[in-house]
Amino acid sequence: MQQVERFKYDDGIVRKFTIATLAWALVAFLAGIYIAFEMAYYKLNFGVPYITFGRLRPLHTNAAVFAFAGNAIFAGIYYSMQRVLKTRLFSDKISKFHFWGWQLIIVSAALTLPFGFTQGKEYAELEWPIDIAITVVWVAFGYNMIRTILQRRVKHIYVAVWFYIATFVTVAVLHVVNSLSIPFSLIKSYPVYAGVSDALVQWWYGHNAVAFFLTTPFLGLMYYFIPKSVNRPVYSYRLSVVHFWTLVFIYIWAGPHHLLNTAVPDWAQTVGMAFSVMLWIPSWGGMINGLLTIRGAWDKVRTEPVVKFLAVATIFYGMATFEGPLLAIKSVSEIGHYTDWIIAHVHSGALGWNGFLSFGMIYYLVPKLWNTELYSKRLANVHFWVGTLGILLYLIAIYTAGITQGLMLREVSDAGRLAYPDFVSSVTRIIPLYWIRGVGGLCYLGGFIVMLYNVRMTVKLAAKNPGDTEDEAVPYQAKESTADPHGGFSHRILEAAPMVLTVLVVVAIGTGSLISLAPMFASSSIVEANYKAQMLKPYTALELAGRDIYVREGCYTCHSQMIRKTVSDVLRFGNPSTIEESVFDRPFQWGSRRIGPDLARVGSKYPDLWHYRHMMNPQEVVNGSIMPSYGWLFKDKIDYAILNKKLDVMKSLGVPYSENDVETAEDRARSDAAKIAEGLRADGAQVKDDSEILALISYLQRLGGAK
Amino acid sequence: MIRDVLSQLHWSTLPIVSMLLFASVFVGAVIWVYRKNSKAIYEEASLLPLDRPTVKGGHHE
Ligand code: HEC
Repeated sequence: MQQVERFKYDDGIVRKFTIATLAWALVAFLAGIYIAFEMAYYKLNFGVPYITFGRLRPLHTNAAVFAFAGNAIFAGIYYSMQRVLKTRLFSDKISKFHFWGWQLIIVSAALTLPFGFTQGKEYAELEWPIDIAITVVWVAFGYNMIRTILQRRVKHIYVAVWFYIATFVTVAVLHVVNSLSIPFSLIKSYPVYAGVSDALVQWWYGHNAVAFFLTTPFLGLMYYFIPKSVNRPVYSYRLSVVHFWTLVFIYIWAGPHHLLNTAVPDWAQTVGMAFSVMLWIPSWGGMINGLLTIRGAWDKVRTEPVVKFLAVATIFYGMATFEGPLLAIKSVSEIGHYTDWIIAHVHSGALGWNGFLSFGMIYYLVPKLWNTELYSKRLANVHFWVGTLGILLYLIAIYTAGITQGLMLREVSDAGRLAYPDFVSSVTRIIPLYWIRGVGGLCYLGGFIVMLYNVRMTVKLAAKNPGDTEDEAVPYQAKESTADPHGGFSHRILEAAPMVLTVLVVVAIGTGSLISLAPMFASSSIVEANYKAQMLKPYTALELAGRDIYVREGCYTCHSQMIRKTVSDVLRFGNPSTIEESVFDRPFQWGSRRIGPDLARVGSKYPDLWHYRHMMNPQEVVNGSIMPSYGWLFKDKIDYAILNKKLDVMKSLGVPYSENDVETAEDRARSDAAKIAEGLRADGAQVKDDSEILALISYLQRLGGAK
Repeated sequence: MIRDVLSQLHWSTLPIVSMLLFASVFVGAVIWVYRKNSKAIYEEASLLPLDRPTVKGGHHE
């Protein structure tokens, strides 16, 4: 018989992550509210590049996902994992490295995104040096976790921990594969994928960032903190096991549902759609499991703020995962895609599920971590109600906005004409709703500030130096338990074996990834053959410079470049986009939201002077526009000197530039720019030969006319 | 070369293959959780988060 061991949990690291969660949540919410009001009132960027919508939106999403949710996940994982495994974390040093490394990554994101250093892919905007740092820190986290599991003092690995393992493994794979790029400067790079391949990889990543960063870890937390807060075991452990395996297996396939009706091969769209619909099963299984765990303790929903937040979070999980598969049906996507409907969908997940679950968890954690009682339950209830009101205002406004715009844009009269040929009329219609959304955001923030105060007071009134919690357990030795009648061979080789579990997760996500990314290879070979036959010309050096400005400014946050195969898209914007047309696009810029019109065929639609005036002052050219003005593009200079290097990197990626193209890139760009400038001056505009606007105009004029 | 092979494949059968794969994972998981002995194991595991005296490495008789 083995001796009982006494040991301490590392609570310090959990306290750190908890405080970081609160701090970054504030940043994420403020940035979100600011861009919400920029939509309502376009002048709010005050002509300052660093806070224009296109640059601030990525900051908001990154702060929400990686800073707020990220730190919340780490706090919750480190707290719960130690306790269900009855062991201190493997290494205090690695935990600290993980913590400070992650904060440093967030700070560098906040310092690069406003300056336009972006890869131009949603939720993967961060540039290559930060990507490398993320990989290192993430692996440290995973290593720390796996070693902790291996030194556990219990036989079983509680199901929450499986969800954590899946999170670690999958996010690592997604991040590395999607971020592959070739640098052309100390900060900037071009992705190794182009066009449709880039789109498929990006949405394989994007969708699963939601799945494995915002869903699986939070489900793990749900499976720990709900039983904890109502003091009863999960309703059905069996169901949680089935939930786990089906979710991990299915999620990875669903990416192409972000690309419905586009140029992506039909069969990939069908797979994405089918698997999304199947996601209903595990998602609802999980939600019901969570809610039924609370059953019989419903009185606590009324009295305990923690349970209140957790219960409502679980309900939002159910709502968002009910809606997701619906939106993944082609005909629904036709209306919802590119509109605020998707933004509403995301926020029912982000504000309701991730936000409320984190808040519930923090209200649970703070008193435990500081050895005290929560300062005020009443204030926590206030937070709950104000926050809920905020979510409702947000959702009602933005669902209405999305569905209104979606229906307006696709309405075709009996005569076969667009009912609202003016894109901007669908924008002006929903502006009032943007104000309401902003107010909803303010409420949500207000509730959160009440929480900050509550936490602050709790900590202030607690004893100083809270220290680490002590516990005791008997060491567990895997070999000894071979004779264990409960265990059984089948159990040992899977559910009690972290490595086997990890490998199986890899197989599950690997299968889906390979099969759903296979069309990428197939289609890119077809495309290559096609464009050789058609002799499509790659971007000129000046166009490329302009394209990089387009990426830098985040024009893709408001403009798509993908005309779908739908009646209204074709009537409005021209022939459907083809795979060939984006074959040189690194990164692809198909976009996901149309706050402005599609730009895939905007080339030659207007004279240069139109663009010149429009970029300077959109409202002067188009009445009611909410596009910000880009005054700085007229003052800032094109970086001609780097163009040779840029073309060289593109050439190494297989773009058909000749040696000569690369060597003369700078000179040609200068003379192309001078020509455009001359034309503009002839029309009475004032412009210098090296003004960035020239490059942007040359890029915009090229769109849709690649031949 | 691998690209040539891939581009020749008939992709439209893949959705069906994938569906079957999923169905087997689902059925497999259900059979797995109802395997012999699983009830005791899962009961034990499901109690792990809850506060109770910790005795004997993971067994709680
Ligand atoms: C906040 C969202 C937003 C951002 C960011 C944005 N736009 Fe716009 N854009 C609009 C809206 C709304 C319209 C429609 C009204 C108008 O024409 O001004 C528009 C229209 C346009 C048009 C005219 C399209 C047509 O077919 O009439 C062009 C070209 C354009 N934008 C280019 C850009 C470029 C280039 C950038 C990045 C430097 C950019 N936009 C950034 C919202 C945005």
